[in-house]
Amino acid sequence: MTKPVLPDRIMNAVEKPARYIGNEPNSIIKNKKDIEIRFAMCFPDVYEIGMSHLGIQIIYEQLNRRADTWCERVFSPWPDMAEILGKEQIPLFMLESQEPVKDADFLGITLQYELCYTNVLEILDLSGIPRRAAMRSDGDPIVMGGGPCTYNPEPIAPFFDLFYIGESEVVMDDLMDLYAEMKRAGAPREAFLRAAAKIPGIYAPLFYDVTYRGDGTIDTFLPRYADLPKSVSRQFCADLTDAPYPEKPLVPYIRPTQDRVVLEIQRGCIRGCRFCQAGMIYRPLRERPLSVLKRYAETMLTESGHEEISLSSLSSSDYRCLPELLEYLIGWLSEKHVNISLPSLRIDNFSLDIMSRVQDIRKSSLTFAPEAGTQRLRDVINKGLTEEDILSGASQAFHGGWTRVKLYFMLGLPTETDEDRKGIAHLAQSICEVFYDEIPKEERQGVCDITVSTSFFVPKPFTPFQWASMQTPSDYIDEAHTVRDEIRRMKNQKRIHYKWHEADGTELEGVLARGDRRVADVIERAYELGARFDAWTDYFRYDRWLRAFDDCAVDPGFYTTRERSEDEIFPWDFIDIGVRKDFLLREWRKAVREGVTTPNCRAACSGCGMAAHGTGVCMEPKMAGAGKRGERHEDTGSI
Amino acid sequence: MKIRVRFEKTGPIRFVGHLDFMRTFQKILKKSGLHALYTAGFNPHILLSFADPLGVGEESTCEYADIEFAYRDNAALTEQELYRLTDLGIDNEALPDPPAEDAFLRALNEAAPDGVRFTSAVRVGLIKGSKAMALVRAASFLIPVADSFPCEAVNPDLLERFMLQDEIIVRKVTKKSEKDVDIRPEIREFRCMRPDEFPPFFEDDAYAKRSGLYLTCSAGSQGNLKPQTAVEALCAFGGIPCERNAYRLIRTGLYDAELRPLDADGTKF
Repeated sequence: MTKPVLPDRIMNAVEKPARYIGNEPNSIIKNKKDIEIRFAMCFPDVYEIGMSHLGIQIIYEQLNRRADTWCERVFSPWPDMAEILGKEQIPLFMLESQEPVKDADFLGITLQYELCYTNVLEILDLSGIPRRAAMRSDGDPIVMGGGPCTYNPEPIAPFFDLFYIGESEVVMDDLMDLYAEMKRAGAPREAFLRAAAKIPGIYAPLFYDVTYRGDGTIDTFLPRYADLPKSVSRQFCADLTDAPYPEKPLVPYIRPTQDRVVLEIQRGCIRGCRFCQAGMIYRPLRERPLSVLKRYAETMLTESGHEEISLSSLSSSDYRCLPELLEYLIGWLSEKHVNISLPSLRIDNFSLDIMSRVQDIRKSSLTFAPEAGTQRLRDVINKGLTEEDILSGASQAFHGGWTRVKLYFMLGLPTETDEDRKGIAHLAQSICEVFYDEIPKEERQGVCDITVSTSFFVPKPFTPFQWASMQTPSDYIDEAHTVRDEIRRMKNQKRIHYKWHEADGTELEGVLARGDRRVADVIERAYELGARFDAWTDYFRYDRWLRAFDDCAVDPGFYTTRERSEDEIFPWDFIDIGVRKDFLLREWRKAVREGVTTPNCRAACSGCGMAAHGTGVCMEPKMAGAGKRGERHEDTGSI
Repeated sequence: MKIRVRFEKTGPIRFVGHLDFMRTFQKILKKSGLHALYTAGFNPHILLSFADPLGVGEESTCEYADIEFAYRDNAALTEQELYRLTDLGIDNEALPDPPAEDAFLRALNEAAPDGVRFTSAVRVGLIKGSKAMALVRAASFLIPVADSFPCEAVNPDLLERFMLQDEIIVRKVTKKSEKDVDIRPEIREFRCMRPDEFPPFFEDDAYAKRSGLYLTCSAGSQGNLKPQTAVEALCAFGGIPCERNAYRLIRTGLYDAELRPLDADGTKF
């Protein structure tokens, strides 16, 4: 048991002091004398958010399996605590040892969303680590970034020594071995960074130089030294069967956002939705074997005492052994009084049957994500889901006793017109009509209740829509108003609730997602002006950012509303994710010029480039109508 | 069968608030492999209730929780108790025997996190009125004081004079109102801690003097005194400045109306 480093005076003064005590069941304490590498694994948001993330638990498990390494955790202190730490000059500490982050050899920061960037700077400041990599010296930890935002690391490149592009399971051990060896040999920081940058997937931004053209776009992006690669190749785990997994998960004392065991059934997605970054950067789809998942579920529940298990993947209905897995879990878990939380499943008879067995129909709602209001636009985004799929899914659900439906859409998609926006209202109305037409009055369990939510689309690197331009925040709000007004014109408008996102955060996310190194100054300036926890509505203040753009003479429109030409060199082009740029461009043209769809990876290979790696779904025999769950499977898309 | 467990909550876990601790407690039960009784339905939950919530930052060597288990109750059940079991769809005779007390406690302690230790378990009756929560009338606290705490306050004479008052008026401020209340009737015993009472688990450099106070006061739904209020009143009485963070609170007992421990009526199972 490690005593809290902070005195009672501070612990009693902050909200939820248990965020800072560590000591949770299954946390790992090691003897410092036995280890060579201390690794601070950081999720730059509050404890409850960070502790809900599977990725850091996988890395925690993976690194702590090494006898020479102790991986501990760090989260963003909540503003009340951050203020005290700053004022009293108390260095930010790791939870397990309660010792300063600065004592670690590595500070690994997972970057799951762009709006956490100012939190990263606060963590560096509170840890006493210089913000800019160029200012760090031998005594400072190696600051390393990972996660989906590193697929365009450029806006935050000056703050990091290294980025790990890809899945930790692959070269993390090589990197640690190299570090341990060079540390023993007394090698200076720069020598280690130079050597690390030669490991596939490791990017050391300090050693790469960018030049720009007169129009502000990138001219060249080159390594400073001849022995460094011009392009950094994304690392992915060819086979997940024996990959490290947190079979003894950390069990937080305070309720995390996800208070359950998470079972990652597969990684990657076959669907190829053109807006979706995860669908591209995690290719190819790789399933975990059923037998392994059964074992994980049992050990994780036994070791944690959790009361709920959730399946995690981008499209669970595409997991080929899903029926067997669910039958097994339902059978095994009902005796153990454990709940199953079902992720995004395609709504069909199978999923409705499963849902009716594991949840209370009256209390649960069904979720559909058509993403766009008309079939034309759904084809543009390659969301292979038809109106008929949605209406028949809703019909089956209403007959099964459900009355609440949630619908998720995006606004601001490429080629979108008012007709597509109004289509959102029309689709919601059609669903209402299914309810009132098909369910006789005496069988209705209450009224039908439809919630429509829209978010504004942010184009992301390594998607076919990376060429798309965005609109201004006021355009976005107009678009939301078009939807709202059309819903009000519907016959059953009282049964349809509409919620839309704020537009300012969308513009900022757009800048940070496709920004270049010049955006780093803006991030630092916004941070100096007080920006923190930008992903939290209560803390996000866009005026700080607008001032920062102004102070740094950076035009956000350059990154958002500007039209990008097809031959532009993007800031992230130096990363090779395995999916080729010409495939993405082909997809972009198919979307905006022809409006035609591309089949999913199981139906037909579309030549994205991943097949060259010979693993996952690329190696499955194509279905050609002989698939276990029928052809219907290929065409419906995930709902 | 309803079992009343006594347990300690000490160390860093004192910063885990009551609601979060209840979740942790449920996970302990699940992990222990003991057969807790669950409610039916889509959200099965354990039938669990705590005697008295402990404040954030407070430790205890004497907490109680009532838990219903799917074990045969070998005591003679009253009609009311039998009715309650039928209501839950349970046939007492068909349930397995409970494990022996030491095996039962071992299972809980192996599943418990650092700082939580189960020290006893007894069978209690099933009927409502016997809930630990409803029995609580008083609590006792050890109050170690940090070296920064004014030593004049830990003084037998001052405490004696304090306790000789007929009334002790404090200003009670709530969100809605502000009023004067007499806390004297709520204080049963207030004295200096004896050196041998200093809790053995308590190691903190800031508490090197190993001295402090001992307080027994009203607790529970029928009248409750926050121990902090008593300490503040004492300091005010002595004209001594008092800082909340200069002392700690360790609950050492919870008692019923006759000042007996809450498990006094329990039986072995």
